[in-house]
Amino acid sequence: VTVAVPESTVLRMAALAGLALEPAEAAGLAADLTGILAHVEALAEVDVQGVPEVSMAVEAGTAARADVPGADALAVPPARFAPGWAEPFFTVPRLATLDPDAQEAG
Amino acid sequence: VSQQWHEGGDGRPDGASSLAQQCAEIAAGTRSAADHVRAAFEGIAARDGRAGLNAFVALDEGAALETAGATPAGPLAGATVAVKDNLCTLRMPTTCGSRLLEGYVAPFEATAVRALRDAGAIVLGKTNMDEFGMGSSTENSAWGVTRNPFDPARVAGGSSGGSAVAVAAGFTDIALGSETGGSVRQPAAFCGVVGIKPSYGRVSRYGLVAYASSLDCVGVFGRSVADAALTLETIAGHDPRDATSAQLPVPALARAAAHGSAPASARGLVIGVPHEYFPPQLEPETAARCADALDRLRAAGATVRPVSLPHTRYAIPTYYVIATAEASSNLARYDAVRYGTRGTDGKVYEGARAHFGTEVKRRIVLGTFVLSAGYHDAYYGRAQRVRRLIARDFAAVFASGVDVLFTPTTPAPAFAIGEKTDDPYAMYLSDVFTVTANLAALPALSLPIGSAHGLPVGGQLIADRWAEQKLVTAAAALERALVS
Repeated sequence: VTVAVPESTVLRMAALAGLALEPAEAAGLAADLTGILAHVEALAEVDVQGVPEVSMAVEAGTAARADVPGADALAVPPARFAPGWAEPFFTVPRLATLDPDAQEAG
Repeated sequence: VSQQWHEGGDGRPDGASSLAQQCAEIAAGTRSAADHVRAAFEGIAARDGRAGLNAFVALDEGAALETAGATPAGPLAGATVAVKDNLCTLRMPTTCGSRLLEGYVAPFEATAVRALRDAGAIVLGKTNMDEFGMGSSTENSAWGVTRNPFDPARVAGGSSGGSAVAVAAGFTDIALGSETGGSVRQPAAFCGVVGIKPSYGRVSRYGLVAYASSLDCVGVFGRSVADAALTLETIAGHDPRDATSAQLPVPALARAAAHGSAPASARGLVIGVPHEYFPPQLEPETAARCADALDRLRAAGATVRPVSLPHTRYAIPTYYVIATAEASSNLARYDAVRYGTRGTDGKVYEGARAHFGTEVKRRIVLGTFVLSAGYHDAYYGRAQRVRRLIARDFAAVFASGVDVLFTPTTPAPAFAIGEKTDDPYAMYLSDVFTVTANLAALPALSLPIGSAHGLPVGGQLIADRWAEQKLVTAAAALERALVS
């Protein structure tokens, strides 16, 4: 059974994904998705009984790291790695270089 | 393009017999890194750029010449490198071929790039690619199409097309690319160079811009198996900054290549030939070059055995469900707050995302659809399960005593620019023989096995997970068999 994707579905998906589409783009994508999903339908014929739905490709998964805690990043005094340090704060470059009008408009 | 660079991987532009030898001479001071780098930039100035092959999107000439002048040291001393534009680099922009990231300069460097620099290599620039890796031709870039050095009216392949061309045209010794579904091997095949996709987890992805995280890998290009193997060995290994990088010893790949290129190295090798990768519609010259490669391996003492990977025909639909689903999530970060340019009229988010190209929008909408309520189980859930079956097919074949699989890398040589841009599924099918290794997390390699109508033909070898040494040894043995 081939799913025909209507333009309204494409617009709903685009809204979910935060994509603004031009009307012509939405029509084109509806046709593209209908075509692509017609090929994806082939997956329905595969017997997947008992096969787990997991994102790892292989049974073994990815080799894990040793169960050893990493070094505490803050074991190094911040004064040695922070761009600026004024006890007890990190300091960052000043942002208020814009004029107040521009800040309000932005 | 000088054809001699493509024959058996020997014959370098400036006389050294291999990358390792060239680097040893530079490290010893008997060859000038500065001359090597200057010659590379002269070649780029003469034949690249928007009107030329369009392999590079950014160059770092000043820093490259400065590094070369400081007498580089290390196993890749003075080796010139091109880096795909989705690997973060200091100083140069990282745009992923997207207008959305125009002008973005990362404040850090990808581990793979850093590893090459630490080994003495010199990064010349960033290379063109399909936007965010989404494409198989390097036509989907905001910075124009990359052209095939063998025929500028044809595509370079993709998405790492610029990196493949940089090596094929002799602009650089080696290049870094990335793969989600074949984006190193397919352009390597189209451009007549060697491309390796390692096992998932073999190389750190720190600093690689994400497309589909369960599939993405950093890969390498070289003019010979030995050059590519040396490069991969340099960037492989665990990285505490990437939780998916495996804590395994780095395989001795340069040694594996040397072993494979020695006489009689093919003796005892068991090569599986999956019939699903040789369909009747395979381009006849490609089929003939594959048959020749297998004959030569047999003559060199290898055992060639027919095998079956029955779920192969489901690989493309599986891939395009999983990759787009993951992409729709990964690309949500381009929100004009952290990255991108803000839109106007209060549409900050949508305004920024209007800069995405058509293929990126297509994949985000498709990925959102297959994950949405009502469709998740039928598409995404099912694709996850079929993916596991595809991986089990490979596991069964390798458990039966097969060392490596041999297939064509692509169904046909490089196609014409514009030929497939109107038919997304036809474009997706150019990855039909490569996506399986990504889905199953396996290492795979493409090497030139001859030509058809003046265009390179690539042969693919696939090995079991973590078996890169076996993969490289077999590839070097095939490379030797092809010139003997």
